[in-house]
Amino acid sequence: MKRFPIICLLLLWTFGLSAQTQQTISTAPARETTEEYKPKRHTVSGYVRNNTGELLINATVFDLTTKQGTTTNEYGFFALTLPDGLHRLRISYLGYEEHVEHVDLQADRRLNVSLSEMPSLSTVVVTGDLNSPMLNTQTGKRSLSQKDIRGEFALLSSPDVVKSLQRISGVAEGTELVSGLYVHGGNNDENLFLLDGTPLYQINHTMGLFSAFNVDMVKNVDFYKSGFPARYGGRLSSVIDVRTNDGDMQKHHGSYRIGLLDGSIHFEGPIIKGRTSYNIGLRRSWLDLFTTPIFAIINRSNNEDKFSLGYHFYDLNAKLTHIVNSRSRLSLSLYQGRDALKSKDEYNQTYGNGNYGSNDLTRNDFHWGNLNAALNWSYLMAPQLQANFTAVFTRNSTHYNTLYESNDRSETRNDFTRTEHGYRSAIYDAGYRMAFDYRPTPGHHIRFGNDYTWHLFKPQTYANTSQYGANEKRDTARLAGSNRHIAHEISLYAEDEMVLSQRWTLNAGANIGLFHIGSRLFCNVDPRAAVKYQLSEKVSLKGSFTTMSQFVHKISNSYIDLPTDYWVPTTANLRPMRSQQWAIGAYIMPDKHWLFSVEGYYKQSAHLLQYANWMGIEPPAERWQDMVMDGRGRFYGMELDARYHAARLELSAAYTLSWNKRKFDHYYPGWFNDKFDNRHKLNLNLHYRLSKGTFAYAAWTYRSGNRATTPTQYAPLPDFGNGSEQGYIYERPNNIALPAYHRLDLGVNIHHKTKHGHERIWNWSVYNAYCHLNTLWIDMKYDEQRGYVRAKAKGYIPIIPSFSYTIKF
Amino acid sequence: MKKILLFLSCALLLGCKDNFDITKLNGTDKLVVYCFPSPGDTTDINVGRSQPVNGKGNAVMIADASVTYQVNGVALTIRNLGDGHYQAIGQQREGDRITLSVKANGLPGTMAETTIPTRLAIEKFEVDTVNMYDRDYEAFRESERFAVTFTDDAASEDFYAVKLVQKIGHHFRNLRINTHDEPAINGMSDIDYDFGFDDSSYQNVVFFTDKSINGRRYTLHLGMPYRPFSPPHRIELYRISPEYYRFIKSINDVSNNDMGKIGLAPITPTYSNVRGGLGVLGGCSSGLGPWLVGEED
Repeated sequence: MKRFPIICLLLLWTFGLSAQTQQTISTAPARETTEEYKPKRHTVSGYVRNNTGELLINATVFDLTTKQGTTTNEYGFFALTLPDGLHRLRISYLGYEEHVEHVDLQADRRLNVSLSEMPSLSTVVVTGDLNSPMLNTQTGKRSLSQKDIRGEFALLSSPDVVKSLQRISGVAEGTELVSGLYVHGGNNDENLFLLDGTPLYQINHTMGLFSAFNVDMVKNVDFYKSGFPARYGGRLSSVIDVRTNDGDMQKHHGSYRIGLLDGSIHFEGPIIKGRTSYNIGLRRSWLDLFTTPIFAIINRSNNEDKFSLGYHFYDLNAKLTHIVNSRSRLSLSLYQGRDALKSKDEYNQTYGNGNYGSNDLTRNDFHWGNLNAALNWSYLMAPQLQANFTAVFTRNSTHYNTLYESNDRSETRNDFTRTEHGYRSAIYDAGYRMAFDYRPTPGHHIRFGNDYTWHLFKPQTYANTSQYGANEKRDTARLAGSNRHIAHEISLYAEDEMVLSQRWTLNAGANIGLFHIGSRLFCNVDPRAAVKYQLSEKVSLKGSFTTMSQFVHKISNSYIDLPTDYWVPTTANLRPMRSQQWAIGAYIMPDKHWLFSVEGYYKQSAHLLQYANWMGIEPPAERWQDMVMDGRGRFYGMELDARYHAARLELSAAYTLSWNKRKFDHYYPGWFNDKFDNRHKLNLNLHYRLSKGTFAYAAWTYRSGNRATTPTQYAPLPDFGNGSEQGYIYERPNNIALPAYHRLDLGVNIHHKTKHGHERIWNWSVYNAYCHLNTLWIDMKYDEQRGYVRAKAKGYIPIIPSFSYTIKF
Repeated sequence: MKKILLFLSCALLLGCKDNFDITKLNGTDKLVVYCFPSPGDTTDINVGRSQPVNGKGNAVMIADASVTYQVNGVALTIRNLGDGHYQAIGQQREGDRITLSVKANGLPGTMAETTIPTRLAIEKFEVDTVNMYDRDYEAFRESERFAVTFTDDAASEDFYAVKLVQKIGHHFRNLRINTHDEPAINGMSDIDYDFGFDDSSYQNVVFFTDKSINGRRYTLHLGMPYRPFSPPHRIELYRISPEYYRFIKSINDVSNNDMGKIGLAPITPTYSNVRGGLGVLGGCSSGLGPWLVGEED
């Protein structure tokens, strides 16, 4: 039965190739095509850049002569194979002036195009943008540029990739202010975050207030919630492919930004003009720079009890790019992000003329973060074939150390206790990515490749030391343990984006995933197919079917992204998580200003993993396999999107109607609502250019409340020997929907050019402008005297005004 | 104008809160039945009535319920002890199938089933005095440590309960057991304790499974703070049925789930195998340690 999808794919592929032959004949250029005369075909290939040399992703290259086109890949590369003769190539990209190049094609030809950024939003719609939802083949794909992310409302005046994605239809944000991403009902660990091709395991700072992506560095984000191309694999619910800027190849420039809680600096420029560039961005929270001296002043006046607390995060992105020659290019991308929380409490007391006293010291040191590195070599093997080889390394780790020391002195006795705990959890990935981009004809865009990842999971390494005793006699107890799993993950993929006819396009492929751990080898074949039917110039219809597999899991017992969560592999006792998703959609573009879309999806997941020991925040790693449940999920819904673009005004609306249900037999006998089963979700966004340099925006979010589990009965509990008791009975998980969530965010960006040519940007923003204290949970208290239960909605997040100031030079 | 702006500013800062209407929670009174049969000749049965959280009143015991208790299909005599307490009189052994049905006026009838697990023997019992880390005191304390050896059945998935019972006169009560040195039981990491989370057990009865000891002869290491004149006390180890385990685990899971109480973690539904009602019918078989009496230091 498993072979069936593969056979279907092969048939589709065969059909595609034969259909392509017909299509080539039917859409042949003006010259008559006869059996005697077959025009020679040549390939025009190259890169599309902006005027600073930055490669542009998803730019459209369209031959106005033959009406055939393509888009640039994540390395800015394109190739179009066309009949010989004169052609008019139109190269376009959102926010840039389009460029038309006249090409007399008599042989294969290299074409590198540089596009100029538009000074304002005067013409915002790109004619025939092949990456637009209207014309691309995939369902559920969104692309965001840095400009898009900067144009969104920014919480704490710090633009954020994940919070931008939360506004997209089909995505639930989860718990307020936390960078959660629950796509089509999937869990937070079912999203594949790729930073320049390397997986990112920890995507948050400050427990989710900020995401790990520094927007100064981001060039493009491709987000998929359905219709996943075969080149992506390893997660069930979404793919977020983040690519960073290479850096300006022509001149040095940068920016400084200071926000309410964080600041950033960013520099980019050429090391060798036109050949080698650097791009460095550093972001850091700065609140500890104030809290440290404040605690020092407070502690100075208190000799007995001294307390200090400090928290900061930073992330550093660096990228070096070198153009070796016209065919070859190297880049090294580094990312390090870290959060650190430290506290120290010292208590000293002396009495009885100094003969008696006690000293207590408690010290905690908690830090966590990622280190990612990617070395990429991009090589043009032939005009139609580009190869990319990337070596990747990822480390995600959490460290926690705590020390407690106590000393009680008397004239005759000195009692001493010292306890030190150290924990570490980590995951290391090292491997390579081989990706080939082959475009033999305009009707075929074939991608194939192979990824290999060596995983080292060290879920929990701990060392506990305890000393205790009186006077000179002390006993020491040490306890240490660790566990580790080594796994090998290989994926092979091939996909072809085929133009079957003037109306039909198909993207079909498969991703074969192999996962080896211990003596077990798991092999999953994930077929993928997306099809588009262009009903007219203004209407397209799409459908997709995808299967996804996931071999790594996050062990978490909460709905928030805690640094104490850790990643573990599929093991001999567990099965890989799998999902199948069907999506259909209709896309309507009545004129150049409006775009409407409606998409429906149905996703079912199997072998979902849920940690089932609901205590504390760091589940013990020795027995995690004994404490997980295997379950299923069923997620379906409909999404409506509308966008309006004009010179000064941009409007967008995203509505989601969805149902998210889960079933874990050892948890609850029937299907139950997911925590984030928000039946309705509506996001309205408005961007308005008030004047040449002043942009205002507003975002209103409404959704049905998250689900919550509340007791439904108050009942006697059994007496096991300590007397009879009464307590709450919880009959069904997530039995109620919290009150509807809604909030309005407002902001304004004011741009000003100084006489030195520097740009200053002031940002003012207000989160939750009408201060709706959205409910986080329901608190229930039983009044025994009156004999009834009082329930109160608890919500605490108020209006949050913020400000940031940026200088660009 | 200034006043209007001031009013609007104050209104914004005060914010608006949601109301939650508890009457939305549909619920009706249900029979609550607890019964834990073990090998022997009498079995206690407790019957009560729950109070839905959207209603008014108290959860009460039911003194006039109709109780049917069957061992392998044979009904036993039921004695009504009053105040919702009943007793089934008659012999039952390990492996017996127990069914219990309860009816009471105005409430839907209930039905539950369980099997009495195989008998558990404590093969070896030792006690010594050592320094054990006590989380309640965040320090090492001189403790009585009990080493309780038993053999797990490799062929079955087994569930256990252990309690430390103290006898004062004719009264018994369960003391807190220090499980810090016992990996088969301890469900939390030290990092959780450092952050102030708790893993207390309902009425000091500690529950665990055989997942980490399956098929092995295993020695549990359990502690209690040493007291020179401690009244008689003993360790009681039980093999319990899966229903019993799931019920009490769900009670403990909720009680220890501090994050769940504020909506940040899933909450385990309270397990019940009482169809049509609440509560549990769970079998158990015990292995009892010797009574120990504290001595003068």
